[in-house]
Amino acid sequence: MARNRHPDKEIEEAVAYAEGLGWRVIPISGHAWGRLYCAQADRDGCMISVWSTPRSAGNHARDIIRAVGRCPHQEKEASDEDA
Amino acid sequence: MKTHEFTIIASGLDPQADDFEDRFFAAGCDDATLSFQKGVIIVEFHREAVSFSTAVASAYEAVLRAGAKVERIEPDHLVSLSEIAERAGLSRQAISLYTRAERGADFPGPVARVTSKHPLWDWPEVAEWLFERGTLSREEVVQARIVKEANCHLEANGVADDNFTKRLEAVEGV
Repeated sequence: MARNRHPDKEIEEAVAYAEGLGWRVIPISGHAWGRLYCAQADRDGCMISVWSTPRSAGNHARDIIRAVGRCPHQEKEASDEDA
Repeated sequence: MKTHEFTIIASGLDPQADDFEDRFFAAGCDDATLSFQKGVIIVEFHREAVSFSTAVASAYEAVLRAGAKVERIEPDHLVSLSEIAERAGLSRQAISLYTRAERGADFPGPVARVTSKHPLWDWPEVAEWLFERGTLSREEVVQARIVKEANCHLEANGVADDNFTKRLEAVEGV
């Protein structure tokens, strides 16, 4: 799958991490570089917006990884839900 | 200036629209990460400001400028036992003992879902209790109160009025 790499190394790593968990990357024009969509491909699915030039690339990359972790549709790898 | 971390839960904009991100960018939210999960818009801020109340109030204004409705501020002021443990950096078991008054007298009682298996506590009350025992800083207690003030205001009014910023700053001034 050929997609454009994000110009920032940390954000690119976060995007690649999401892809590794089954998320799709859809490019977009404007101030966002693209959108990440989780494996649940309907309206209940998760979406994360990836900025081209966020105020802080490091913070943005960490937020992306955290939002990926919040996805309730992730294949049940970690099955211990918080009771 | 310090960077303050908090999240605004919003609604009223279509996350599939072409201009979804540009609206937030134009409103100065490039210090936030946008996502859409569980049917709501999640705006996670890392905002530099002179104080926590100023950061929250300016982020609130920015989300409105983007055309969205602000539903709530997180980390929420209602917390479960697990969340108390996480925020305090203690084990769930330790907090559970506190609530049964075996180790800590006068631990605040739950305030919501009290008759359920998973009751909720008021974080400002719990934070104050933990502060008195040296587990949390004064700053964390103040932030807890500011979030509660903001959420109670949003709940009561649907939207914040002109006094929103002043009210938050008044809490911080205590």
